[in-house]
Amino acid sequence: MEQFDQLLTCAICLDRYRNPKLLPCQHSFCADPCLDGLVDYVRRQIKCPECRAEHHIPYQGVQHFPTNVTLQRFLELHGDITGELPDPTANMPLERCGVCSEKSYCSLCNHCDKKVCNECKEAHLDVLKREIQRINNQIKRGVSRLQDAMTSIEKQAGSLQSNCTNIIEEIDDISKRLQRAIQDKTDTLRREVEKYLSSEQQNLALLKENLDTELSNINSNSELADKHFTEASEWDDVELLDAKLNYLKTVEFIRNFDCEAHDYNRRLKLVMHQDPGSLVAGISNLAEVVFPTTTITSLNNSSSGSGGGGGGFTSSGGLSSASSANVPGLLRSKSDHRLAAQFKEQEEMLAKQLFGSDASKRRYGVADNDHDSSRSGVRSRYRSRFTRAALGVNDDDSDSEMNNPKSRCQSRPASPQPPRERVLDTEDTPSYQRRAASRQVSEEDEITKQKRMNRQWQEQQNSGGAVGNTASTAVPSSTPSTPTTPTTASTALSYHRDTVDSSSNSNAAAMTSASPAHSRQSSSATTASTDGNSAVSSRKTSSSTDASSTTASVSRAQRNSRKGGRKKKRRPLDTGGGQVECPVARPEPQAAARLTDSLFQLDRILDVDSDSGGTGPGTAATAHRRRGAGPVPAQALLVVLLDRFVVLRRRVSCPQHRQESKYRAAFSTEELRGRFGRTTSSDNNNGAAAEATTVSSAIGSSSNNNNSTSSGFRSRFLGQASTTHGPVAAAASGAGQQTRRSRESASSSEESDSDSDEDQFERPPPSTSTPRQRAIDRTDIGPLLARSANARSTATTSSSTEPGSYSRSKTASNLYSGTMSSSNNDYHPTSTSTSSTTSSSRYDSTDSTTSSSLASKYYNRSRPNLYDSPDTYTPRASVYSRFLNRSKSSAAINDDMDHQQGGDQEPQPPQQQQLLSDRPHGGSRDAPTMRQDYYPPSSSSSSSAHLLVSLSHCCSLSSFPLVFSKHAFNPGSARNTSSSSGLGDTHTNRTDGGEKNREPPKRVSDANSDDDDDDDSGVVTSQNDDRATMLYRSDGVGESTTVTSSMTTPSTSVTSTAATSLSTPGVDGETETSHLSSWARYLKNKYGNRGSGPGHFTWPRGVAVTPDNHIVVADSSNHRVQTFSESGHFLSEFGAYGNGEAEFDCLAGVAVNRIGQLIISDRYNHRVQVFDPCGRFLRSFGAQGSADGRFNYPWGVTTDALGFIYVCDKENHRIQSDGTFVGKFGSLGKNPGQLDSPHYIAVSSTNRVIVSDSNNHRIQVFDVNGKVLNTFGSEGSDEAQFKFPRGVAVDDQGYIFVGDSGNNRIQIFTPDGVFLHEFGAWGSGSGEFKALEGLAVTTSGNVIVCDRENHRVQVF
Amino acid sequence: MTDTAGLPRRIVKETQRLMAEPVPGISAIADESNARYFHVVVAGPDGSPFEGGVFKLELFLPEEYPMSAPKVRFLTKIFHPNVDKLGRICLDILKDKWSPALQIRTVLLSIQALLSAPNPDDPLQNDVAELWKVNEAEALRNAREWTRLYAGGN
Repeated sequence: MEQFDQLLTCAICLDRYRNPKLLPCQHSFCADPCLDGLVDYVRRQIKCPECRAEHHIPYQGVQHFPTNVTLQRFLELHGDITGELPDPTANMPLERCGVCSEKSYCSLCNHCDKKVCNECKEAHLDVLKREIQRINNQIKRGVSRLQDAMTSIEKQAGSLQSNCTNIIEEIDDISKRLQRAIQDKTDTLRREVEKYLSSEQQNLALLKENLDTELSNINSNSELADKHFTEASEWDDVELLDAKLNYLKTVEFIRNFDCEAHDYNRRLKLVMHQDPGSLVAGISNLAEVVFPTTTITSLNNSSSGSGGGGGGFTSSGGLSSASSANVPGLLRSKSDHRLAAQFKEQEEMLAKQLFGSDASKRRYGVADNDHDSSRSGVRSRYRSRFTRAALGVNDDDSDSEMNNPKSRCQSRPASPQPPRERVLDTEDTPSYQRRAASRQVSEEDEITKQKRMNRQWQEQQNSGGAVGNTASTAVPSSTPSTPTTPTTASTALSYHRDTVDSSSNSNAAAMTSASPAHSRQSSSATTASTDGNSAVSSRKTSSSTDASSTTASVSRAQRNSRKGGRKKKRRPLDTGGGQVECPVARPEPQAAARLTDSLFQLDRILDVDSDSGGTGPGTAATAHRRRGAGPVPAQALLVVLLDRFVVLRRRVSCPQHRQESKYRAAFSTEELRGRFGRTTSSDNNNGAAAEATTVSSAIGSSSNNNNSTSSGFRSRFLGQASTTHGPVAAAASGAGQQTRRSRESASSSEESDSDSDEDQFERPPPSTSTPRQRAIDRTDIGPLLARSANARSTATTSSSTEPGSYSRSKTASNLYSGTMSSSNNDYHPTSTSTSSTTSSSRYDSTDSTTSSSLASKYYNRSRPNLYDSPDTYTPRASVYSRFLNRSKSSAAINDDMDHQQGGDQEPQPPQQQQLLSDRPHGGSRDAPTMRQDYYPPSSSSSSSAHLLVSLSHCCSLSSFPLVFSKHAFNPGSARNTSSSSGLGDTHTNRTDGGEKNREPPKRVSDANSDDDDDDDSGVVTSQNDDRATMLYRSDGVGESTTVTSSMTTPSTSVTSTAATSLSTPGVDGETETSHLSSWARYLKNKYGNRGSGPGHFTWPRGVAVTPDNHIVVADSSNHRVQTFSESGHFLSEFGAYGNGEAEFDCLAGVAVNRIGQLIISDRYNHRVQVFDPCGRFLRSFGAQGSADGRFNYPWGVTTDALGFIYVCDKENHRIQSDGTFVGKFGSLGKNPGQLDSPHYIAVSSTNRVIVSDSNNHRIQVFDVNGKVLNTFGSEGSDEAQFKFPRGVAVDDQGYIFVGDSGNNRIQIFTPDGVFLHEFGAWGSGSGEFKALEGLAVTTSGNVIVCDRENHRVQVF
Repeated sequence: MTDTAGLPRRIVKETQRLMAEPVPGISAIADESNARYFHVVVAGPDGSPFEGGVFKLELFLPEEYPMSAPKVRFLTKIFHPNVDKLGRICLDILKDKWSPALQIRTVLLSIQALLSAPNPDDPLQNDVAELWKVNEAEALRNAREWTRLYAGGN
């Protein structure tokens, strides 16, 4: 069996026969690798390895030896017997690997979709593995996000807990109060009844007593009469008459005596002012803790929408599916981590992991952006989409979170519910629709993916925020603050908002015109801030323009409809009101998006913080009433945004708008009154009071978290807050100031509560409560004003909300005074009434002067409205208290913001730098580069932006751009030409990317030490990434122009210097062209090793130098031509195996003519091909044969100055010239002029043709006509002796270089054949050769040698 | 035997077979760092003047192997007309008579045979060959002496 085995084994490959071919000697060998390798191409013979018999090869090649069919049968039989699986590669033909183009058994590689050999495949697998590891690292990094999410979830859980407990407390509170009220009522009623009963009883007893005495009197009288008048006593007539009269009277009395029992029959009746049944029903309907399905659906919509927003840049369609698919993807990847042990599953895991990580990365990347903008924003965003989209765990949480606000909302009196629901509707659905719309718009507009991503987010955030804002302007009820407040609040706010709305409406045009002006005016440092403002303004203008387009009447109509909806509670009209809003509101964000798009570059920076503001509303919109720290900032930011509105409004503010706002105010109050007429005031008061307390407590707690920062801010904001709403709801503002205050307000509202309670029973006219309220107001106003240190008088306090808004604008301007310092100056001139100086001194002068005067104006107007409806007061007070609370918390948050945003505002660039510097720590590498991409355009000129972008693009690793940027932006380095050249050097180094980078800058800058220093410093600074980034940023802004100049100019000159510096080591070699003693050649360069990749060779043969000093190598057994730069960098390659055009079969010689055309002798195709300098085929000539113009194994080629082509027709032992056969010379022989296997040929500038007459071991020199001029050399190893000389070359001075192949040395001769020098030896080291082939000399005197068996090219 | 990757199957097979079925009196072990380089030890064949000697050789399989012959060289000094001072061997199958059908094993066997049957007519070391031709006894004695001296024979 073993022998049988042996018989089936090829003697060459020691494997099973594979396509066995039968030689004439009856020995069989595998066809492709084995027999192929045996072929002696020169003789077209094959020698049997077994018997050494020589056989001629069939013309078509070894494949045409007969197949040993018998052996094949045996092979099959053997396979059948042993059950040996047939070699999978048995019938596979050898193919060229798609990657290394080496012949081998190829299989399809899934990585590159090419047929590749096993080695390449393994390499690809390695690549894949590395990629997986990299991705896995990214995942690991990304896991921190999950952990963040977890912590945030924990936090949310905590807040949820507190929320629930708060609600429970609230419920308890309400129930307690209700119980107490009922108890009180019961007590009083009972007491009254008892009192009545007792008094009646007393009266009855008295009556009874009287009757008793009367009865006894009458009885005694009648007894007396009986006794005395029956017995004949002596009575005179007078006495009798008297007696008779008395008795008659008594009779009359008795007769007339009517018991009047009905007087005492009076029944006490319990008169119900309200149907107890309805009361009970009302109580049963009083509160409800519900998980509203509408909210969920809308949230789901939003989640899918926003999730799609995350994936929006990849594909706009099927976004929701993608986001939903994320869930299993992520989960699966998670689970697969556990299963990672098994390989197949691992592979699956890879796929999923990739997917998951991809998705998550996307998310993370996006989240990253958020991360910078604001922590809270991240959280909210994160929750709103990621949580819901990806994590079921979070889902519950967020849902419950979402629901809580609702439940909170609903834990209030039943009557205000419908409007609230409507609020929710308008809040949620339209806002998300708007968001989606804006997203679409943004998608269309966006150009690059990254930009899109970033922008999209910002867009979303913007739209989230802007929607909040726009909604606040156009749709009063959907103002971010609304959801947090009860309906009363919403109306009250809407009143306030309406003022803003109308003003912004009319101001829209002015705004739009103003904002570009601002952007134009912007200078690099202040750009950010002004831009931010202008961005805000633009956003507002966009909203306001839309609002104006829809016109105020529309909003009013909406309002009306809403009003109707409110009045007709829970009626379809209510939702109709909501729906009316939707279409109107939808165009808004689009326009907003458009505008924001246009201003995007500018406002991007401030977008970051306004985003955080935007996220606030977003969260507010989604999580209406989340308690704790989360929602509060949102509200705060809302307030801030509102403030901004006011600021903007203030710029063009004029009395008209005020009036209109006043009108609106009246309208709203009327509306309120209408509402209140419907709803029981007690209910409202109850709810409001409860609201006030709860909110204040909640905010108090939250503000406690935040308020550690400067109290000055706080007081300011408090003052502002108090002034804002102080007049109307001083009690509430008191509450706003401190939680203690809020208690007060609660009590005050409770007072009002009891008032209204009394109302119920006693039905007093509303006016009774009014003075009381007013009194409360007044009392609270005093301390408030004192505290706020406002010079505002009571007149202002009693004025409408207008001054409040003014003060707000003041504070807003103060808030952003750092930022706006420049922009403020712009504002002031435009602002009609306020002076620029007073704006900074917010309260004292301005408020007292302008706004107070204005206020007093409105004071009169607003008064009737305000005071006419006392009922509205109470709720409004509570509302304002809430509002104030919010504003107060906003103050607290603004403190925070002063740390974040404040840093944000005043020195905008540093903040960004911080962002940038923060980035590398937190996120992936891509993130910072992206950031770099994004920021520059916004802050600096476009050219620098491009520069930076390109920078960050070309150097993905931060260190490079750092060095570079340091250099580029360091004005000192760009000082003079030398340093700039050094700069450029670094540039080229970087851009070259690969090998040059490794060369230390020192080498390049050896020439001038200045450079060196610069370089080093640059490198050093690059070590600390963040610092350098900062430099990069800061310098980049200011120095953009210098950078560009320094960039462009030196780069060209510098590349040349670099080139020269590269070649400087060979300077001695150049001097050596004076061909004196120092012939000792220094090895300058060597490159290449065996292989088929770029820069690799397999038996390189011919070599030539192009006019531009590129080196062209005939890579013979790779059947291609490779081009290298003089320094050995691979430039290009062309050619493939075959006999078609531009295909080679073991090409040998290569030559380049004057115009750069490549002449290549295609050896086994017996032809010469000509290519243009780019490697495009031009023509070919020649065929096998010995006739004129035919070749037999053409070898070396060369051209002369006239462009004639000389070809060594090796096996014809002759030289032929040119394709159209000009002439030939030489014949086989040893005599002069005869040739034996001439291999290479060279033509000197003096038109001498030097031929390596290889088998004659000599060099012959001909003239162009083929006349022998000189013959030198003989066989041997001594000087001027050769063994099979191959390559010849001649330099421009006629010196002849001979590649003495058999002696593995290069000999140099004078033009007349006198030996000069030799160098080289056998070996594979530097300067050693194994079988020399072609030689070439460059114009600079470098000798290029093809070292065949070492598969390399050496340059001397 | 470090990396068999990229090594032709034939070399791997040969190496495995050399390990699995070693030729008597010959051991060839691939170098740890270079799978194409073999440390070879050939025992002097019985009945030859090299009997008892242990001759170290190095064998290198060139890139073209098996299309070109392996390069073999004596590392141990040997008094042999077909081995020169540097250890180079004059053996036709290592030169022009190489055939891909030959293997390491056959090459080493040939070398062993060459030890048994020196061929002074095709010399590499001329003086040795001369001596072998002129005074074979002297030559054999010398060979034994060298074997004892350098190849650890007795």
